[in-house]
Amino acid sequence: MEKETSERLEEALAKAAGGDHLAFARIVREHQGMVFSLAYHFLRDRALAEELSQEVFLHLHQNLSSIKSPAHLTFWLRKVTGHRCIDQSRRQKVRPQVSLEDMPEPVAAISTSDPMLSEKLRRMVDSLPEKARMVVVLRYTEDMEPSEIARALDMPLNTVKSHLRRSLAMLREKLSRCYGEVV
Amino acid sequence: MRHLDDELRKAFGREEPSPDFVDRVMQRVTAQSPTAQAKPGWRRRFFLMFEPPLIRWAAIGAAALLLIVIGVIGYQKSRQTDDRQATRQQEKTPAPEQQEQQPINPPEKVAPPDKDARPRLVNRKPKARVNQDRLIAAREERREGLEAKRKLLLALQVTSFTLNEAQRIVREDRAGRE
Repeated sequence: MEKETSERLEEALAKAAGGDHLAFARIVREHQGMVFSLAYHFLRDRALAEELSQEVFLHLHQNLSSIKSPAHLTFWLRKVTGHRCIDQSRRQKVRPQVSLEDMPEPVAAISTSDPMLSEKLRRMVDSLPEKARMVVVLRYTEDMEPSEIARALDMPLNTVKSHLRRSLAMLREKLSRCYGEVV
Repeated sequence: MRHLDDELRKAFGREEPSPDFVDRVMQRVTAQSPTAQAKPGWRRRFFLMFEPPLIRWAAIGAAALLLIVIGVIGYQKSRQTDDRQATRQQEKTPAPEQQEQQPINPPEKVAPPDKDARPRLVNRKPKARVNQDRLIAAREERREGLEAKRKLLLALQVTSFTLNEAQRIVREDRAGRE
């Protein structure tokens, strides 16, 4: 099944590089979720994330000839989206940055079925510095390995690992205060 | 006890953009396609100079210029003809002051007082004829001038019409290409 999808994508890539707009639309449809999720979880603004995702695909259309395979396409899209998100966040600087330590503590312990837990986690990650935030977003949205993240963000592997370790330690500490022990 | 990794995976799950996302991307792709955006190189620009619309414009411009030149030359020729006719007429008939002075200058040739009615009549006749000739010449000149003016205006009208027609063709051609 996966092989079939990969073959279809390879065919679409070849056609799109030759100027076939329908083939390019197929590529966009296939990867829109990935690109948009990364942008949305990083920027936390749907309109901005859609605009950025569109720009990423426009950029892809201009660079189709440099894409060698479906795997390369996925890597390329993650890399471009990651860099663009960080640039956008640095340019924007509208949203005030609150450090994880400054986040208010939850007033009461939250039950295990708390529907707000995910939102709280997202807000905590949102307060991380740009690069650390992107490392966490790539790790948990795309399930990427630290080595893949390092290549996508042009970072040393140890830096990625240290960002992950520190971010998770802070999140764990915050959460354990209200949920008890967190692994 | 809960797994932070699992919670983070749940929190950062896949999100889908709006349903018309692909359409909007494709609209922007079409608007920015290389055929619509690319600036042609100098070679292409050089060959573009000889593509139909420009050649057509050049031909129209040349035709318009030719028509204007023909009109101006025609007008100048008619003016020259008028001038020559007027000069010839002036040469044929003496100047009115000369005619008036002629009987006065030689006092011995002046007719005797008892026969003054006849010489006066003789003197009056050429003056009236001269005036009449000059009137006719002026009328002729005016008529030819008006004729030349009419021709020039006609030529300009034809040129204007041709230019409008060409502009329309070029516009249609461009719209067809787009």
